Amino acid sequence: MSLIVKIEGQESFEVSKECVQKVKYRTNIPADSNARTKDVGCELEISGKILVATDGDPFDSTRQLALWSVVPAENAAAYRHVTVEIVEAGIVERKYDFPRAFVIAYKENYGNESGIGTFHIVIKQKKDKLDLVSIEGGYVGA
Amino acid sequence: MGFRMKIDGSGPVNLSEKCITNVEFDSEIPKDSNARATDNGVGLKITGKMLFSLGAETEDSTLNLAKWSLVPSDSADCYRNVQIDVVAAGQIVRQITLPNAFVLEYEEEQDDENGVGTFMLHVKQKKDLTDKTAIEGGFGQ
Repeated sequence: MSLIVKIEGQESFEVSKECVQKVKYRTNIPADSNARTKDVGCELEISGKILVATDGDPFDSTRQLALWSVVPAENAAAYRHVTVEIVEAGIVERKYDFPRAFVIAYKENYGNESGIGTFHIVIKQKKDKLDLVSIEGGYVGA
Repeated sequence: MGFRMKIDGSGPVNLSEKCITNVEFDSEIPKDSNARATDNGVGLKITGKMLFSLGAETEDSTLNLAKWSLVPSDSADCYRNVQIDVVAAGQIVRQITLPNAFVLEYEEEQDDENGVGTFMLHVKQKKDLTDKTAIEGGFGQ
């Protein structure tokens, strides 16, 4: 299984496949609703490893995630286009497409045991642009 | 013990015992009531595996669950008929039908260890139509 996370916008980058460990998709609906509500949102939770480049490779893709999480709200770069593909045995099992995504939580954690750090990011589609979200899957792809 | 789930509507879902791992039926009754309350609802929580088909030969119907969870409230399609069969020893132990169910929670999870992802769907019967819920059981397949 490979998890491909791509972020496009003012600075496009791909979080390398070696880094991403876990992807969680969630539809957020108020738990106390008696009938179908309009107050629906959706988010993606991505976590993985922060790998050190040992061959002098200057581009650490997880650092770009950290930089995105501190972009101020008045900057247009706060909203970016996120696509996540889950590929298994040559089949694209899921493709999540969030065209107006912003960061709602970002955390990095380092300890003296594991040798590598971990990151955890939660991104959310701008709530009024929920109809632009697409979830596809079940087709042959690379 | 196996579970089968059938959802009608524009994106029909048929999941079998290969896929569903857990089903929870909950009669939601206010916890602070002093006498029998009228404010009760029914919900179903289903968890299972996101099995992909090799060569994309058959359709993965968990995709339709994800799409259902995003249907806007102004569309008639957001209410669907959900039927769960609990099968054991050739008998239907329970057949729970929520004829006007809507999605309350939906989650998908994939990681690089398990090989297959998991989903969690929480549906609820529209509260004023709670009496339309059918709970049957004790008959052959």
